[in-house]
Amino acid sequence: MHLFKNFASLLVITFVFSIAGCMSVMDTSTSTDRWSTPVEDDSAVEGKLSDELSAVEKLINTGKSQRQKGDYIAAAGTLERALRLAPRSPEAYIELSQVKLAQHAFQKAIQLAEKALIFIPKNQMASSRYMRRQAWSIVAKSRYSLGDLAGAKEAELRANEG
Amino acid sequence: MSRNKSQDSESKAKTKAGSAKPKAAKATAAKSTKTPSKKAPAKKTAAKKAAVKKTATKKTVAKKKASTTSGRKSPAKKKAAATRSTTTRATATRTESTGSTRKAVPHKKAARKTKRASGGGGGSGANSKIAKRKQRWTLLLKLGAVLGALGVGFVVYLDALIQDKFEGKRWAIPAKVYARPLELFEGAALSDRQVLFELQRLGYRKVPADQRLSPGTYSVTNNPSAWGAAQSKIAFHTRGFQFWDGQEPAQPIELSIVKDQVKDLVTGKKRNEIARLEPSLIGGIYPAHNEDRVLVTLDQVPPLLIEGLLAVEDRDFYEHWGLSFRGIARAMVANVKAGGFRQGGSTLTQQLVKNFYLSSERSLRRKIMEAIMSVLLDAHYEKDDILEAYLNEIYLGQSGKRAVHGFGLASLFYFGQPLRELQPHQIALMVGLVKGASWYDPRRNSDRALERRNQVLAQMEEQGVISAAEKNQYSALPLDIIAKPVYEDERYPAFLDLVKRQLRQDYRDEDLRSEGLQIFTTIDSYVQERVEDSFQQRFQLLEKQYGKAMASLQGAAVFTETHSGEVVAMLGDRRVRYKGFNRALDAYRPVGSLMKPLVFLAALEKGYTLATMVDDSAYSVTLKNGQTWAPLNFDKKDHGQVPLQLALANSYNQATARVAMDVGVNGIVKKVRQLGVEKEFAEVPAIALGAVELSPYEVAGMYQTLAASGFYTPLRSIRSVLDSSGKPLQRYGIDVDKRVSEDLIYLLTSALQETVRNGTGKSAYNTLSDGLNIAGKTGTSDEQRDSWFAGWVGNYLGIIWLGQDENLATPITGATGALPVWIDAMKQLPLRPLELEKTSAVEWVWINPMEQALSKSHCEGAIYVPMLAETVPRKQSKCGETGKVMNWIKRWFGG
Repeated sequence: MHLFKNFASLLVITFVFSIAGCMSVMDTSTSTDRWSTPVEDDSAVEGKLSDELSAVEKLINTGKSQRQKGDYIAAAGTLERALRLAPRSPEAYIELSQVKLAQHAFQKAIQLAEKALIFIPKNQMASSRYMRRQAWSIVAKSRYSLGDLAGAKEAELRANEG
Repeated sequence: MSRNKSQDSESKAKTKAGSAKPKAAKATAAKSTKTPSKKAPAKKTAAKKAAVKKTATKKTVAKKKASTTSGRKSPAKKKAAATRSTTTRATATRTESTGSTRKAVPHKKAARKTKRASGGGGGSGANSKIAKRKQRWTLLLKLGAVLGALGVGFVVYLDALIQDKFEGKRWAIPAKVYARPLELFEGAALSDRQVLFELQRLGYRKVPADQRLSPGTYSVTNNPSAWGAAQSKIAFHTRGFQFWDGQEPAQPIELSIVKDQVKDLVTGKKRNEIARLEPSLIGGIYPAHNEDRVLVTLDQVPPLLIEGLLAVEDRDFYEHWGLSFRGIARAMVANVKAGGFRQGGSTLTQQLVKNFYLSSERSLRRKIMEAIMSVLLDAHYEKDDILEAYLNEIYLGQSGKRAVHGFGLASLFYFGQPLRELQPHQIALMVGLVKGASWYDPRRNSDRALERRNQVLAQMEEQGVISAAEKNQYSALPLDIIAKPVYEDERYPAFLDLVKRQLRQDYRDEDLRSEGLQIFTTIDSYVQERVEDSFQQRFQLLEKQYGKAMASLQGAAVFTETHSGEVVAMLGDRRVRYKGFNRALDAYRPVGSLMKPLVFLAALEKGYTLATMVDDSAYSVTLKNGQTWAPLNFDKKDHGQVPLQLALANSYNQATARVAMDVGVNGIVKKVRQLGVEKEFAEVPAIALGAVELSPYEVAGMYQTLAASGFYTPLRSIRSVLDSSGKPLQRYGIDVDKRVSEDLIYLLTSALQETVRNGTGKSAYNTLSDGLNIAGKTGTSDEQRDSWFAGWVGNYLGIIWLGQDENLATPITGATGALPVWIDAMKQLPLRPLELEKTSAVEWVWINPMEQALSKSHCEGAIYVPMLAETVPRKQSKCGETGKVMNWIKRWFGG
């Protein structure tokens, strides 16, 4: 009976605290969430993103192999299709900028790499750092080819930072 | 439009597109209109018969022909033999006549000598008679020779005429314009309504869910899911299509739609693949004579159509020489029996010659020419080539000014389906239309058309093409035509106008009208029609609300994809099908408060923060030219000191004017240029409040840079251009150019999100989901002449303009006119939230703007804004005891 009483009071406390937590006013640490979790159904988004990426990844891989074969026009077409499916895919932008680099369209390569950079999550996860390295390397190579040695060096440093 | 020039267009041809394309197009067009094979005299052989047999069923005409010709010379051989014997006979006749002429002269001379010797006929009179007769004969002979030569010359001329047209480019094929194809993949943002809309637009036939699917069919199953929400499973079989990047196979596809997302997609038998539906045709670029056709090759034509056509129009097609005396006799008998003209005796070859080379004038001369040319055509070319040309040439209907030629287009025009998918009763209707497409027009004269179709079915049965049971079955069916053609030039006139303008920068008009180019555009028909719906509904409501004053209200809209800059919808008139003045491109109107974000962007760049206090009291400034500029707020009130964010959210003019004068006109103009507007305009302070006249398309271009995270992204309406055979000519790729830093875009976008959340655009959240994080700005010009809204979510940017052509005042503002249209359109679309990741240079802080000090959420007057770290004040606001108590409560609750 004593045990039950204790358990019941624990439940009440937990309930009160959870309500209080909901009612607590927004502070700096939690409020940024509203910029990053806008949809109501979190599970739907997760499912969506993971599945979508795998379909888009196939296109990115196709684009990559087309570039490696030297078919730049086809590669660009495939990668733009990937971007239509996932307009915020940093991988697709990086691969597209690789195509422009291969075509010696250095300014375009820089611009696309910069666009990729805004979509790479701003965290220190290995995948994010790897993509940042890739994007900055493209910028460095392109700037170097354009004769902007200082700019290339700066981009190289950023690439190394990841 | 000039923006398009800078687009990243790529041509497969390595040479400069402008010079190479037309050539490339021509070369392929020639290929597409397949050069016919010239007939070898004895080549009309078993191969041809086999081809006929191949297209025939067991009970077909071909089989009959095959059986009737067995045991005797095949028509091909017979004809070859006949040709040979004709040639031999002609040569023989020539030889004989030459011989007889030679012989006749001495003979006649001898006769005359005899006459003279016998003294008969009497003297000089008789001689002159003989001389006259001689002269007459000579004259006749000469005349005959001249006429003969003329006749031969004429035939040679006709022969050249036939060969010239038949072997050259036979038709001017208009460029075909396609909407974007629907991409299907797991997680795609699509509603079931959207998928069904697309299938219906493409003419897919609905079949029961248990029926096996064939290309061009679909079925729907509605399954209530475990938690009660309806979940529709849609299954369909695509038709396949040749895209820029390869062939999309025809395959069965299955998918479910859950909460506006594609789930459980199975393509073929694979999961996690990407599939594309074929794109729908939305229009064309027509030649001056307005003839339109979709070319088909013989192998794309259902065998039943060929058999039915031959049974009704020309039973002896594969046997006659271009003319059929048997056919004429049969028609005469039929007409006598019927007591009037019921049946014509013209062969398909004659009909083709008439349509192809001659006028429709009814005269003996034309009839003779038709006969000669038919024989010549038949002598020169294979029957199959003639039949294929006929199938593509024949007139089968009228769509406004546009003449529908050939069975390929007629099938789309009447049934919304490709030719190969037509059912027997539909085929019979098409065959029936050959006799008179306008008299039997199934849309205008459905009873007449039904009667004609059933006559055709009866004839098909008579000829053994179909059985009696089939005839009865098909005759009982309705016409099964679609109420409106699936594509018409007027369907999306504003968008087509944009496409044509862009094409004309890169292609010659003549090539667009005649080379059969395939233009793949960016328009999303579903989005387009939802914007159209919202226009129509809102204009009706406005008229109800404000009366007749709104009858002349006009509007325009441009919707794009947020990051790629692809134009997905465009309207240039409130009458959505009206093909005239395109306000989206050509109405240059003052943009009002849509300019304010640019002023504030310049201010943020200069060091302002969203929490900087600005003075919104009455303001006037004397300009260099001596004039006074004294803008007033819309509500005619002063609001004192306000944070910058609030000034933007509530669109305060006086505060904005002060900021503008601080950043300078040059600073604002620089922003206008950075965002992509190239046109010249008067650089005066009033531009800060929208005294710049821009078209909705230009505004879309400007806001695109903001929506695409600060990257200038030229708007695009075309993805690629293919020639008539499907060979890629040109691709218009994405082009981006970073114009605004990521940090500043973050700050400005959050202020524009606040504008929709709590400012002039807040009515959006009465309808749309709070999680969308919409960013946008209303705009109203002086005296409410123009009502604007520019706003975007994760996947679409939409610009709406409403106003009067005569530039008169209206009772609506940006918030009460354009914004509701925007909301109405967006609420019907599957939307993605606007996601913006905070940059490392930005911090979100609670700040007391009056004190310019850090504050707390619970403190009075505190606002929560993003700021560049370097601009965050170090000073702490004295929040007072209340703050302490609140903090204690918060700690107590473990928050």
